[in-house]
Amino acid sequence: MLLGLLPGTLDVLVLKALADSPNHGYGVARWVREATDEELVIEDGALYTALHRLEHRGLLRADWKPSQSNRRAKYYTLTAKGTRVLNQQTAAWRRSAAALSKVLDRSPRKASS
Amino acid sequence: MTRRPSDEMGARAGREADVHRIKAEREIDDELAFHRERTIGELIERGMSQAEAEAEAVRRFGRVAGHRQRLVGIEMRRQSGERRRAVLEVFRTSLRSVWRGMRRSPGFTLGVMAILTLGLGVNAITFGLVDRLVLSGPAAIDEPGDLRRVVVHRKSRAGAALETTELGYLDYRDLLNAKQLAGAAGESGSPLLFGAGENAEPIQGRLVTANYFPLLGVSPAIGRFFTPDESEKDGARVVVLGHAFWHRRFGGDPAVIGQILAIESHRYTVIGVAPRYFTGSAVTRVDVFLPLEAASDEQVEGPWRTSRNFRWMGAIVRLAPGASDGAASDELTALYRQGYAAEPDADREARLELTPLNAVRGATAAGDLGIAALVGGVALLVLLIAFANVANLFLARALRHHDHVAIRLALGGARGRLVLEQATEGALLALCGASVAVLVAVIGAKPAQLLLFPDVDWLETPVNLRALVFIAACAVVGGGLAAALPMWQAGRADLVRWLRTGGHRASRTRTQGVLLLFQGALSVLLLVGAGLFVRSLVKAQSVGLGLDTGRLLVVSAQRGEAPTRPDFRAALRAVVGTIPGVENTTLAAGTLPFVSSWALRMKVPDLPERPVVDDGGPYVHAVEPGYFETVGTTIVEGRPFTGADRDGAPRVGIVNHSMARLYWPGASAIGKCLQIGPDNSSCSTIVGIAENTRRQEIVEGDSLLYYIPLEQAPPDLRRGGRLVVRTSSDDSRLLARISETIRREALVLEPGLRYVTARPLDDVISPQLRAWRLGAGLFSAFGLLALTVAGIGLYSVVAFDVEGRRREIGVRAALGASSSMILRLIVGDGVRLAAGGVVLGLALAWMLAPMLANLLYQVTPQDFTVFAGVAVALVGAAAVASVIPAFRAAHIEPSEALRDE
Repeated sequence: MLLGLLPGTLDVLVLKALADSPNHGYGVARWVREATDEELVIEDGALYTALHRLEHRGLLRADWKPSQSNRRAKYYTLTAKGTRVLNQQTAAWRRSAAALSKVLDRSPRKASS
Repeated sequence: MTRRPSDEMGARAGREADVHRIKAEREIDDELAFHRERTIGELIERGMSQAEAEAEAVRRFGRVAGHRQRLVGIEMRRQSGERRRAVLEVFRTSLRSVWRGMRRSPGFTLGVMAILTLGLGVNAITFGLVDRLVLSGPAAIDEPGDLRRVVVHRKSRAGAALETTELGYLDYRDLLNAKQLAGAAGESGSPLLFGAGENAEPIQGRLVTANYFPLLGVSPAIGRFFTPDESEKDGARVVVLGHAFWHRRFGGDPAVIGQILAIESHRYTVIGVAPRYFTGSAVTRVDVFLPLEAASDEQVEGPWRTSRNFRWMGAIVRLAPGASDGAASDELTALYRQGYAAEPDADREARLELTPLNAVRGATAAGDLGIAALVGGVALLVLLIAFANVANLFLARALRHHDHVAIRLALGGARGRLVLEQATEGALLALCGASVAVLVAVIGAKPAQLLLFPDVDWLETPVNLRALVFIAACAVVGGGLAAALPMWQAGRADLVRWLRTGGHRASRTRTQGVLLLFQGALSVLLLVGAGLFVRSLVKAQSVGLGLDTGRLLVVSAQRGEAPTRPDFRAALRAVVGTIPGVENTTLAAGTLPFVSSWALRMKVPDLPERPVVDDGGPYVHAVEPGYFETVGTTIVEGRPFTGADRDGAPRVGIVNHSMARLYWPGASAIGKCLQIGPDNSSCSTIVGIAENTRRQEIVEGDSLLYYIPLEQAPPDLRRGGRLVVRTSSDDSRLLARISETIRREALVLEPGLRYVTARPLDDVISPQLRAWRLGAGLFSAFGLLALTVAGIGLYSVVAFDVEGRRREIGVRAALGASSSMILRLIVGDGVRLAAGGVVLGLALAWMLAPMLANLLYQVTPQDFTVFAGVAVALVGAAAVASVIPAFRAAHIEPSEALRDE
């Protein structure tokens, strides 16, 4: 089943994709596709928008470098600020996901009269 | 090298936004092309066909156009942020480098700042002057852009071309009918006497028609202005006070409305106060505004309302919406010619032109405006010299630190950045200089205003926002360019040379030469100006006035309405004669040089058609026998008056040289007849010819003047006599003491005296020399300053050269060149360096000097003596500047110089 994306998650996803090593836009798209087992539907266009927005906000840095296929590609690298934001966001996500699951796992209580 | 048409440069700036967009689009498209290629490649690897893969890639990407547009938007924002950061970074670096430079070489920083403060300070002050006088024009006027002054171009009766603002009352009334005008008003300036006795004060009056204030769009600060009835019909005695005068004499008290003031010999009721800073259509001080018609009834004798032969007023007009200057002046010309159609000897070709209120040139330009433009021009030259000098200092520093510069340049790509850094440093230093300059201007503006333009009504803020913007712009642009220029140059030619010489000093650069040329040329310009003005001043001062003005005092007294002593003048004369230091006294009525002019009805029986001269006349002097000796006018032929030429004796007269020559060419005037007064008067026989004297101005043509004995003058003329006092010396303290004593004694004799002054004639004349004194002083001071600065520049370049040529000079010395040969070599080099600047400067001066023509007196703007003198002075200065380094060169020890390597 294909899932839609929760608002605000795309940025975290992109940051996460770049957490280990710099990569170009295509690489990020591919990583996201594989990491989510193609269950998340993300348009490539939206992904690029996120990359550029993050670059503009200073969470990513972009440089043109030759790729493995020896063609020039734009590589994105996580900046120190990007790493910090990723860590904060990850922690926040975990907390809110845990809280949400707690709520969802709980058996419904009857309304007291 | 590619060359672009210059207009493309401007258009390029306009397309900057497009350029940024294209750059962003290219960035995005490159990135997305890579993405698409890789996606399709991967899909084909997985077994899709080319077409399927392409379709899938598009599907995965989503709406391409929308995403692309969004991405381009983000990219543009990012890029502009980056550019901003880069600029800030340069700014920070420059700030750091200014700070470091200041700590490392405070002399350099202070030197640059001092030069810039000087240049900018002079400009801050003069900008205020030029702004008030020329750029913004008269203050407190509504939409001054539509206002014009009317100028008449016509031929005088003697046939000379006249350009004048003087109109008759009827001419002004005609203007009111013009369709191309939204309105017209008449005005006339007039010095007036305010108050009485000890407190009487000369004030500046402006006589204006009732529609003057509405035309200029001003409303009164308090009270009201004139109504048409008040001014036009019966000439009501009402007065509107100037704002500054109201504050000075009445403390700004609103209760002044309704008060009755004594102005001249009448009483005027105050009805209103003009708004602050309002000085009418000119910038000179105005104390009171009087209704033109009422005041003219008293001041202009004759049928001025109905005859076109009384021309004394000016006219201001406002163009109708959409009317052009050309169309309006055509219409006004037509109205004017129509008005004169019936006048017998009017100029049928007369034309009316319109000029802005603050015109710098032409008949309407007050002397102040021309002077302001001149001062502004000189100030700009000083600024240019300052910037050239700063450029030289920066260049010298760059040469000192050339290793550092060369390395940075050799690393590549850094030149633009380096230039920008230098420019920012220069601009920052200039801004520091500018802040000090503004302080200087705030303090120095007031004295400068009073010194240069004593009659102008100055606003209270000497440095306004416009001046601040102007100075800041000058500082940033000029400082930036001056600092960046050497680095720009360094980037081009010198880099290779620096590197090739392995970090050794090279000889001087081309830039240094160009800067020297520039400074030399500007110095020449200023010095030529100085020379022209000094010569004018000398010429004007040595004009034969026909009078010994240095030792003369003129006593003017105005008696009240009810004089108590009929013999006041005789009594005063008796008292004045006893004052120590007074040598002689005489009474003179009618015309008195530089003080008053008077004409009587006069006929010359010999001449049915009397020759006409441009300044009118002949003018009459009614004098006592001792007059000529007292004032120092020589009788060149015949005899002076004697005690025998009294009332009842045969009537006699003396004519001046010009009148004798014009009326009786080739014959002696002695014995000829003048019929003075009514047609049937008896002859006044000419008994003498006096040398020419000036009538009003130092630099006027010769007037036609004649003299009659005071006792034989008509009674009304005799009554207005003035006492002329000759003192034993021209010492100014003595003159001041005597004039104070005369004032005091006069008031003792006649306490009801409205007004009395005893002015040295030189004080009356000296304002006429002001323009030349000012020009001479201004140009000389700045010219010498420029010469000094250029001399120091030349000195440093020659010294620098000598240092670089030690080896060469050593070789010459070793080969037997004597000290004096080396001395000549180096001084010759210095002079050659300066020669280019001198030639360029003389050429520029040759072209520009004619602009000064109407400020000069009896000196052609291209005066050979001045040009030659300046050339010699500059070459001499160049030789002097080169002598010290030349001596050093002459004492180079060959062995040492050669061992250095």
